[in-house]
Amino acid sequence: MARDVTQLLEDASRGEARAAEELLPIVYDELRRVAAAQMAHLRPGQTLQPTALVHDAWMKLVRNQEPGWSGRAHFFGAAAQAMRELIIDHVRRKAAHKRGGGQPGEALEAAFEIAADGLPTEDVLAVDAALKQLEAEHPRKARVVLMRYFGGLSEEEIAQALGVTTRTIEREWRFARAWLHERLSAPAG
Amino acid sequence: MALDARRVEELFDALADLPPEDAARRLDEDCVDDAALREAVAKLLAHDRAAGTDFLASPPTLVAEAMRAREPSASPPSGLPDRLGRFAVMRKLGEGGMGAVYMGHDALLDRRVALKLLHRDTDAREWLLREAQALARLSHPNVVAVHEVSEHEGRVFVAMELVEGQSLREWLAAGKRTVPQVLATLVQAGKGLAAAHEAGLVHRDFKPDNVLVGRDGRARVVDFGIAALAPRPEEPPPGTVPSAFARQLTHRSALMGTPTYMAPEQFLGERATPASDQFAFCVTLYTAVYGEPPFAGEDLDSLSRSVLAGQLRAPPALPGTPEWLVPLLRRGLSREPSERFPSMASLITALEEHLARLPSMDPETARRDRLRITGVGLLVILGVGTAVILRVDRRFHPSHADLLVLPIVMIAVSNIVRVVLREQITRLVNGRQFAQLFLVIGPTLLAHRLLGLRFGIPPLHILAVDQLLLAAIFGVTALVLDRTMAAFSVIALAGACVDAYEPRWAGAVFAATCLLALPVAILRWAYREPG
Repeated sequence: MARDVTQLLEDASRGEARAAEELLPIVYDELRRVAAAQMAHLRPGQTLQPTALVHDAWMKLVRNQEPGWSGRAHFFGAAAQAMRELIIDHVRRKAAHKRGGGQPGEALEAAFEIAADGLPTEDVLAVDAALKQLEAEHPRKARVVLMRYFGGLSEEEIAQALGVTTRTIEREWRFARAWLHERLSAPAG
Repeated sequence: MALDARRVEELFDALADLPPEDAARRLDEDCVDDAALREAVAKLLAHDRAAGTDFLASPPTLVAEAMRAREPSASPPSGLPDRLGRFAVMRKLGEGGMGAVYMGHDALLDRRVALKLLHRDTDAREWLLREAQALARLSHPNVVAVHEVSEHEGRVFVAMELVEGQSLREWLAAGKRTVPQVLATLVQAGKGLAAAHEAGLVHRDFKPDNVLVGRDGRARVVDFGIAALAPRPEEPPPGTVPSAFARQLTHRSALMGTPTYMAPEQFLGERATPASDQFAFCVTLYTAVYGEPPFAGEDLDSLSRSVLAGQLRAPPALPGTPEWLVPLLRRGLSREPSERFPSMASLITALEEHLARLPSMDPETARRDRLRITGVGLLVILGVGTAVILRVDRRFHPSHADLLVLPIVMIAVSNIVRVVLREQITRLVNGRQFAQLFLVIGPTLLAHRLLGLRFGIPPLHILAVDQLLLAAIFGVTALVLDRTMAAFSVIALAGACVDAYEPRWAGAVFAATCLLALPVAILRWAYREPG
């Protein structure tokens, strides 16, 4: 498993689009597994940070076979995307379940709830939708938001992964944040 | 007119840090002919200011749910059960996340027992029963004895030895514990763990709360394997966790109970092994000795990162903490289980080897011992020194009688001191050997002087050779006991060199050597740190 991922990361670094595509489900599954495993150690009410999950998935999948900074960038990009899907899937399913239409939750769903500081949980969906619009207009900035907000990565890590300076990431983040705030404050978005 | 995204961005970047009025003015200047651009940037700037610091500041987190809150059947009955199996329930001792603990009475064997009644947990019941039965077969002085595992109305209860005392956490907090005391207690707990490992059991949740220190001072490990199944102890009772609870427990404040002791492999979701117990043991030992945990991290996030990266904190240099402990802990806290000690037993053996050399002495006694030894030693040397100076003439030319009086006085005084300070000397590191050093000097000098006088050697020559004898004695001590004594050997030798050129100063040189070297040797002896 670990070798596959390292190989995929190397292929992705060489620009193989398929490798990047294959990477996502693997990382997604791993994140779910790591989350479920860590949940087992938590008391109710304790929180698990995306950062911890992403880094643990990294440790688990890549371990000692450091695939170079470019591979790292691909991994963290994929991990942030996987984290986003994990969270959005969960919130969607939860919302559906609340309305009485959904399937009973899977094992993992039963074990966790989403908390977003400064935002009601449902708004995570709104952020996701606004992020999709941002992706269309400013793809790089959307990527910064993805990695920072959903992946919990630090500005330094993002800068390293995208191969730009931290200052650039700060600027792009500030712009994207204002942009998203505008979208999210608009009545009926 | 289509908006130029690049221009919007450039303007935003340029104006974001300006005060609102300045930004508005600059905006007016830069977008005279482009109202749409002006509006877009102005809006973004307004939202940049409007967005509170909280906005998107922290990523959505996963919050462990109060799963039990949804199962009303799982909440424990609050009333006191009359009986659990054949045990009469006397009173409640405590309530934890795993269940309630009662004091019970075993009428059959007429003894008091602790009864732990676990919450309903259907999935784990079978497994728990097997585990607890294995534990019941294990008998070790450092493991809380499990007498019986049974069921009561579908809930598992464990009848075990009632330990009167406190948990290791309470014991550590209750008083100033010295490093030897802490080590001795933890070695006991470690022996309990080792015995369980040999019986094929893994604790999975070793921590100070799971070690009981009895009134007799004996440490016993409790809750083998049980804790891993149930929600953590010290949590609020099930059913009282509102979902808003999650909000307050943000990532910074939520310091978790047990992850502090979790091994890297457990963070990665792997099964706990004896090596994971060893890791938890070393975290406990490290924390108990140095007063802070080995891995930095206020929350699970940062803790797991430093544990997984193997970023062990450099242990603070506290007085009384032995240096040999650090490499042992480092090994026990290795990131890879294979790099730790092959077993708990071998870690304990390594600890005990060093522990044997550590004096079990509390700092207060040690301080008083030092003061007494130093005081008595210096008084004696001062007294003898004054007597010598008063007795011999100005030029330190001792008579034959003087030559013999000094070693005899020395023998008498050192024997008296040895008897008076016997207790303190035996408590000291290498105390007896050092005492013997002082006992040897007197008779050696006496024997040598008698011989010298018998063969009619002039007193000053005898003193010069005494000088060499002292150098030899301190030299041997340096080799055998303490390297710093070599300095005194050098002082004595230097004196002998002076004697070789100026024999008439031999008396003064000898007196000076004794007055200089002996007090310093006594100080060094008394304040010697355990090595």
